[in-house]
Amino acid sequence: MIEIKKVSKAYRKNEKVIKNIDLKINDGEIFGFLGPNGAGKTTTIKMMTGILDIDEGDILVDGKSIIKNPIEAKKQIGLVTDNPDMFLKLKGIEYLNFIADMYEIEKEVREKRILALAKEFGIYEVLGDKIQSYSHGMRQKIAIIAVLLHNPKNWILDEPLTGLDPEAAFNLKNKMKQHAKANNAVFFSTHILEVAEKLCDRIGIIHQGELIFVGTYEEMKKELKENASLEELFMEITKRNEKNS
Amino acid sequence: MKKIVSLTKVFVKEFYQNLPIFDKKKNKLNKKSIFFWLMVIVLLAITYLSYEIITFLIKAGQPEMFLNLHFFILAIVLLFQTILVCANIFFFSKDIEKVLPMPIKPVELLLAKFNTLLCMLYLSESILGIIPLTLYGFLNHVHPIFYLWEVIILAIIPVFIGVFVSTILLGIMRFAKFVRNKEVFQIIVTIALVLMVCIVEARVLIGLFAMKNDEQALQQFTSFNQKVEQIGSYFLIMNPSIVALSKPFSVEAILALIQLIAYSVMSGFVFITIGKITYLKDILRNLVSDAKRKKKIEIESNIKFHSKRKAYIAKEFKLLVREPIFLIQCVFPIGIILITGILIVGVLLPIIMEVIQDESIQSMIQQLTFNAEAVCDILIILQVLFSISNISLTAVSREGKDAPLMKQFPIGLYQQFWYKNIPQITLNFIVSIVVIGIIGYFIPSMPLGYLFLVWVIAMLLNLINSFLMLLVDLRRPNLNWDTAYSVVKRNDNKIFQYAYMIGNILFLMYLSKLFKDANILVTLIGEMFVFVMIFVIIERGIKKWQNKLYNKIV
Repeated sequence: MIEIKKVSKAYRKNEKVIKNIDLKINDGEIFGFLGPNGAGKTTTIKMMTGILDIDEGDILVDGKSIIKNPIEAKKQIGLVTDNPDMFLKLKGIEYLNFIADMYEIEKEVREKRILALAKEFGIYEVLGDKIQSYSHGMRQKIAIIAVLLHNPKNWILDEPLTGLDPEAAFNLKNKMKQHAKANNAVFFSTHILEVAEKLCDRIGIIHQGELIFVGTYEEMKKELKENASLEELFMEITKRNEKNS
Repeated sequence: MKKIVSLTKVFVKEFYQNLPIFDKKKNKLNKKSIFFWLMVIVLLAITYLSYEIITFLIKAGQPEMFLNLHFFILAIVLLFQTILVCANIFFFSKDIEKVLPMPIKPVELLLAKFNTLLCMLYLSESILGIIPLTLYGFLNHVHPIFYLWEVIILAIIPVFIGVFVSTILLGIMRFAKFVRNKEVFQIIVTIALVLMVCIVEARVLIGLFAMKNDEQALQQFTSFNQKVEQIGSYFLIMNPSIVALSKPFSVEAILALIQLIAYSVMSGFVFITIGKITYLKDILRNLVSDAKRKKKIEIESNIKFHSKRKAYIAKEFKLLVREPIFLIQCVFPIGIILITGILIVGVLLPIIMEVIQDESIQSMIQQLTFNAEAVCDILIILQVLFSISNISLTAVSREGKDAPLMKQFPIGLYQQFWYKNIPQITLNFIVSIVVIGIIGYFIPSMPLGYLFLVWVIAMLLNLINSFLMLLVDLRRPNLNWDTAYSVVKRNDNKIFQYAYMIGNILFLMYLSKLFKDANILVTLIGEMFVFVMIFVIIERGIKKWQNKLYNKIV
């Protein structure tokens, strides 16, 4: 479970890019975080994972504050970023082993997981190569495997489907569903509204740093237009917020 | 032909704009660049040395000997340079991928690349070749035709050397598998050449030490001259060049020039013929080799458990060593200095010992005392050496877009600060051991116990230096880089390293004055106490402010 408690962030004085966000991602749900470019999705994710300082408020990961108890909170998080270019000079297997060391995964467990995940995502054959020789999709796959290795309770994924081939995308979506079903939390940002529509239990829309909607797709339709697609609702809700602001 | 000229222009422009002496914005020479002034100093030094040698040989009645010496050095330098840059230009430069989709014949690309190489060699030749030869002509009052021959010869030499090395390279790229591994190839070539240069330097130094008077110096030159003549017979272009310039107004000179041109044309023909057949195929093979080369490694046996600390430090070393530019820029300079130092010391040891046997020098050495000034001198040498390597100064920047990952790991930022410093501390540890070892070996009057204490202070300086430089990088990181080169070479943070070095040297000098009249043990313990205090303050500060220190890493 992730609790975002009245969080604000400003890069410059009096220019808040995140404005008082209050949000709870429950165990057992997939939460889709939507918003136009520059709305504050990545900034929010960076604060959730301790990469960015929080100016106001706090974020709790399974009850552990990312400000006061960052190490314990980070142990409960698995993050896939939108940039999968990590440690390109390491071989795939070295990178996965390194991540397993960072999360102190037992040898037997990591061996079992690395082999199973690498085969499932179709990159077993290239684990002995340097990551720099991988395609974008393969890099994305190894980043996802790295996150799944320590089996964190809370998944945070920033545009995770970008660059994945259909089979890998299908696998990942299934994994997200299974993870949520096992009473864990999945928080992911995306631009692909169809995916959010089909996959998410709840949706949050952020616009100009404000969380302007949180609820289910059905609730959104009730509030705005019946029979509208998520795409239309998204456009409607962001336009309305622009007018109000 | 038009395509070759256009391509050459693009490649050459790219090369010259990347030179540190060139101001990209203003499109002209950058007079503020330290490299510009280094070049001026080199030019002046070459002029002075050439003048001294030529006048000495004129006095000895052997002026032609200078031509042998000069062409030997010129050929060696150009040969080294060609070997170093050739593979990069022909096979590993980034522009190849951009040019390949264009309708260009392989031979056109090959010749354009060769022209780029030629421009680099001409630049070196303009520094090393023109002044000494012109000075030679001027001081020997030669016939004006000498200068025409000089121009022709200086134009031909880089062509021949370039063609010679490039043809060999084309052959190597065809048959040697390891060359396809760009990183290994570059490192092997650099190490080999650096060692060769060091050995040549050491031999020259031995020669200089051995010369006690003009007569002996002339003997040295004569024996060197004979060796050069022997080498010249293997090195096709050297002897004709020397003949043409030593007897400019003769039939022999014309024949020598024809010989030179013939050699160049023939080798050029071989180069183009081989290039036509192999060049494009090898470029393409090289471009896809990374993807194709699947080293079958046993995945299961590579899955091992390590402690967080061990895994993190191993990762730091791997990332430093596996990027050739980081390795060459951060580790090699200090490595070269140490190897050169050890070589010089090793090779010159017998000569120095001989010199030391001289009574006056022996008494001078006996008078040497291990006092506050000696401690200060040793520590200054070490501080200067610690400032050469930029491992800590680029520890965060080198990670580029990966840097935010360190905030994701469930490891304290303070611990990561230590781990990131380990490569720099290790390198400086080796440096301090080598330097203090050499001092202890050569000056037996230095008590070992005191030397050990000096080493402890040096390690404190090492820790302080590494920590401060990592702090600089944390506060002023360069994470959005495209080329590894820009992180280490065009790094403004270096100014902090130089400023710290100067500040610390002044502080060490101040300490040596402070402890001038004190007992050496008191001096050492006092200095140790001062640096322990400084280190503790820095370390406490880092621990306390660790979160704020990392806030630029996002």
